[in-house]
Amino acid sequence: MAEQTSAQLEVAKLLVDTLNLEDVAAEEIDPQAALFGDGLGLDSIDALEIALAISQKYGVQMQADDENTRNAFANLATLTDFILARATK
Amino acid sequence: MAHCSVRLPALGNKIGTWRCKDFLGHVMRLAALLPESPCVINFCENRYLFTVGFCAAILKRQTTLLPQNRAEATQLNLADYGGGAYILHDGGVKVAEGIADVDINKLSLLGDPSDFIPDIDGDFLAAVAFTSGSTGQPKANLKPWRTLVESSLINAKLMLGDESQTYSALATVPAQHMWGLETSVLLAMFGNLCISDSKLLFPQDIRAALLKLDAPRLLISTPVHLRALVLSGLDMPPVDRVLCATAPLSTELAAHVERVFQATLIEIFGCSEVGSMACRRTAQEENWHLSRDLHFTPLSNGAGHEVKAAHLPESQILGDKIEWIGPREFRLLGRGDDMIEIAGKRGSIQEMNKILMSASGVRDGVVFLPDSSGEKVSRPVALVVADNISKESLTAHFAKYLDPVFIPRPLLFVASLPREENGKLVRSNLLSFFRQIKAAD
Repeated sequence: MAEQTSAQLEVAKLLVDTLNLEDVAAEEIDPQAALFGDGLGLDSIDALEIALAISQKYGVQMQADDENTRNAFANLATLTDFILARATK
Repeated sequence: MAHCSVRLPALGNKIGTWRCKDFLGHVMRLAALLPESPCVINFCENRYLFTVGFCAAILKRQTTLLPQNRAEATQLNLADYGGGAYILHDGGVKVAEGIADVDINKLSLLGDPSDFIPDIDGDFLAAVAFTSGSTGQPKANLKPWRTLVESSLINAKLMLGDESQTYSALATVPAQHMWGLETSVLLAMFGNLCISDSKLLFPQDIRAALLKLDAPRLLISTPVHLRALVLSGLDMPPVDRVLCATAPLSTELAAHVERVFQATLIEIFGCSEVGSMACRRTAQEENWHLSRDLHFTPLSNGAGHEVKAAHLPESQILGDKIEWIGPREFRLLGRGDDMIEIAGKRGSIQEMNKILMSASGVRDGVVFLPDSSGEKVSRPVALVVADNISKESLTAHFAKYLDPVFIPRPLLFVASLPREENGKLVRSNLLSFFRQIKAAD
């Protein structure tokens, strides 16, 4: 697995805390592995929880009809880049 | 009758409002194109296309099957139901091999409007809504056309109040589940409601969609979605009425929703077997008001009530614990034990346990719901004693049968379960065992 950046680790910790992924360690989330479907196996309720946590922590709102948001949910690396580019907090 | 906000190739990328006669035209043309079959599984995600498909099937005397999920095993199970079924969808579903399918977006449905209002036999079985049964087999809830029409007229009174105004409505729930079907599909047909075709998730999208709707606005949702909406901190446009169902809503969240949307929030109590049964203004009252048309009789063994109504094909047993305050007013003390609900989807813990134990390599195991904290979604947890099976393959095994929201998480391997000598697994022991594992982690 590719090495996590410190920003990616911070977002990984947010995912684990938000989603109660007790059986997943934040450090072990591969930045390039799919978050939904076969990867971490997240679903739409998770997406809603993640979006809420991100809006509260970073002041970034997700929008499904925005292609950037759809791409952001691909993996940890894309989600972190998306947040860093927009963070207001 | 429907507000279209997504691109619909088959209906000509129409963005705007369909009138009733446009809708009838679409239904007539689709009915002429559907294959011959006793049943159809309608997986259309777009609410307008779902409704067109549902009505076209009724015209062809095809029963619409509404499964709990889109899992491959579910599709294969239903393919032979009632003499055979094909899948109608709008492109967003992976159809299991060997099942015929029709992509509604590949058909040409545009054309002249129609004024033809068909006569439909009241006893025709319009829909079968499947829910998790305690036996582990999906339970078929039969919905003759008469039941859908009569319950919709009752619901319009219960949910819309003043019937003189037309609401512009948005729903965050799928059309395939009873709550979504009763409101976003049937209320649009039998009540003064113009429904948006979209099924939105993120607060920002819901805000944008609400802003495009004319007042008075109506929002049809669930506690999970409403919690995310109010905690997003976004300014929301005023919504006259919010309808919420599927899981208990707290007084605090209800009051918060009323403030943020300047709305009246009506919470609905219902189940797939009967449909909507009672309502309350949760921000202001704890007690539920039973719909005038339903009759509850306590069972002699104290295990629930028998529910009867003129519009139901047969009486139903309701396992929920109820305390009567007045003839038509009650407090809900708890729902039946086995069923859990996540975002409007209902799952049986017993069924999840059967699926777990059917995986090869699993020696012992349990799926249970830990104590939930507040409004946050609580997921089923699995503790598994197994040889030679990885977490990934066990998760994949669950995914074949269950909606993703019910796949246990966390799924933890343990050396043994804290069983009593007689083999029983006591809930309090299980919970403290689970807390110890989490603390040790």
